[in-house]
Amino acid sequence: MKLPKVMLGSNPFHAVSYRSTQERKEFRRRFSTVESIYKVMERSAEIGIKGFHSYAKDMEIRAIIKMREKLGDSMTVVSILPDIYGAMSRQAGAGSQDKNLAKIKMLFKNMPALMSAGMTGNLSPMVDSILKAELGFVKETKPSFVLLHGTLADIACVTEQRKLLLLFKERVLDAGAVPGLTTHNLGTTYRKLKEMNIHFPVIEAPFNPQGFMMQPSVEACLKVRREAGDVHFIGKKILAGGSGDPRKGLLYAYREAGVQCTVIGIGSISEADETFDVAKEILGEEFSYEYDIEAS
Amino acid sequence: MQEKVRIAIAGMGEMGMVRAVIAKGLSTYDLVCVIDPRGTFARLAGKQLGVSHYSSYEKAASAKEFDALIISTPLVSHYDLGMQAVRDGKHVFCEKPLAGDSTRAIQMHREAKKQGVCTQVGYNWRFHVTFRRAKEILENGILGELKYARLMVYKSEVTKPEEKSEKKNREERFGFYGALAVHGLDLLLWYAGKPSSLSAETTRVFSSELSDLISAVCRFDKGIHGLIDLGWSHHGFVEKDELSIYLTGTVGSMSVNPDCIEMYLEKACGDFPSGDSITYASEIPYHTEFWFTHRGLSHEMEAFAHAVLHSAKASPSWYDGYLVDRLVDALEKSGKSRTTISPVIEESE
Repeated sequence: MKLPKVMLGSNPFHAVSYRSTQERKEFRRRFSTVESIYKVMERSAEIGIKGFHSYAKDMEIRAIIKMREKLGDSMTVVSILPDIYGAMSRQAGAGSQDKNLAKIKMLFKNMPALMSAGMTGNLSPMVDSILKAELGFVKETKPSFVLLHGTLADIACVTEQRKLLLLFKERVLDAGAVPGLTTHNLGTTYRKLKEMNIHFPVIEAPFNPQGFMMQPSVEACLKVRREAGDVHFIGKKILAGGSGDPRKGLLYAYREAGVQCTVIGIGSISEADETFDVAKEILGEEFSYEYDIEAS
Repeated sequence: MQEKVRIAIAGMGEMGMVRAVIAKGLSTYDLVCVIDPRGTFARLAGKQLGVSHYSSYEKAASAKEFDALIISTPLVSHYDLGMQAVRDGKHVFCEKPLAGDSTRAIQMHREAKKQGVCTQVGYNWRFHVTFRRAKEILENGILGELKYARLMVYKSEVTKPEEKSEKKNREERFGFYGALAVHGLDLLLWYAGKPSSLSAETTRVFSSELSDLISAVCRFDKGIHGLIDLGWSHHGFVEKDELSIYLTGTVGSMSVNPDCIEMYLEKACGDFPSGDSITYASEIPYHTEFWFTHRGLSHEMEAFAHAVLHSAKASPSWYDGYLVDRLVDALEKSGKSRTTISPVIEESE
């Protein structure tokens, strides 16, 4: 599987902003159609971006499928799973507006797994059911990499859910993709993975000059990066939640932290031009480099 | 010296699970057991967390040794469980609001003081980067002498008539106060000090016991005055709650919310420039052994562990919890009677 050096993130597409309510509202308004998301993806691809991150959200998925029609196999999709709320809503039937009805339907569909979890304390059947459904949902985008969502990865690691992490790996490999995880606690998560003797070939974590979300400390994250020679790191939060300068952020990620790849959420076509042009300037020929990683 | 706080967590709902995950992620905690009268919840949580589970505090306390208890149960049980645990000599962290009743809250504070244990209440926004930085700005006199404070807390949680059971459930959870408003009131007290008098207007749009929309003119000690503006029946706050405080001093003003601090200073002071400036939350350093959500929960639990391990005073303490409960009592009483309440807080620590 090919893991590109620079990738397009998707936070703005689902209205995530670390700056203000106004920006969240603006993103929600701006990215209210598949076409609006597609345009940013298309411009990024014109600049030379081949990697696209995607949460299991309907509009993002449809935009990626459209992008796939244009780029074919030259594009890499990195999917982040599961989107728990989205999964519940889909199980309850798309378009269902009644919250209570949706909950009842979701509970009914998961009843055997829920009963098993409640009686035995074993979450595996329920997690398996959600994973299978979510992998089925993103199948059409043909993801090369499937990363476990940061919050769930962090919970699973500190509570030492070895079985669930192995189950995730197995299901992703079965789907023909490379498993990985995202984390907001690189220092702690990586240590726990080592203790549980679990290896993920790809780990996505925050790296930025401000140290934003680099937990437990900047030094600890850099140490993990240096020591984990068998992991490909994707740097996220490069622009420190939108308050950092792209040049400084990219220089820090590639030169100081030494991550192999970065992912950057882009909120407009002009932002794509500005940010990815800087990345091209910094990386030169490396900009279009892709790492080969086996799905095994 | 003891390096870890041996802890039990009562209540395995959403907050209890969050507390448990953070406790597992912080090296200053040793999670000993979980407690929940609902067998399924207790069993599931115990199994996933790899600890023993019990159906009651009494059973847990007789079977396991632990130094501290986290109370993440529904509000109605905070008083009994809190009193029992401090009488057993346990240090106790209790979710907000402390008791939902100022008479009971002050009793809890007095009992904890008598037993000499460490107590904290879950006003976690004090540990969020922007609100904490705002406190430092005030303490360093960057705004000059504080003269005015305005609190705004809006949600869109109750914007249509509800079923009777839904209504009852919300009232038991202390209405809007329990949902978010108490966090804002705690921040206001933290910044502006104790209120000496207040005159409130309250409206029950859909609720029957507690108010949906609350506004009040307040006078605080030290010559500060201000406004309290709370409501969960405002429209258009579905995706993001509003929690903000505006503060004016003799040489500058600032507005603080979870995303940023906007400031205006008449002249430069330290690192702060004259005129307008904005500091985003992401620009303020925040490091913790295990980060979980943006609400300052990890630092809050680190602070409690530090207080227990170093026999220090925890903050916000149960007395701070009492102050918030007392302020809510005064707001409701003033709104109902249409009178000015003075004094608002009779008890001192």
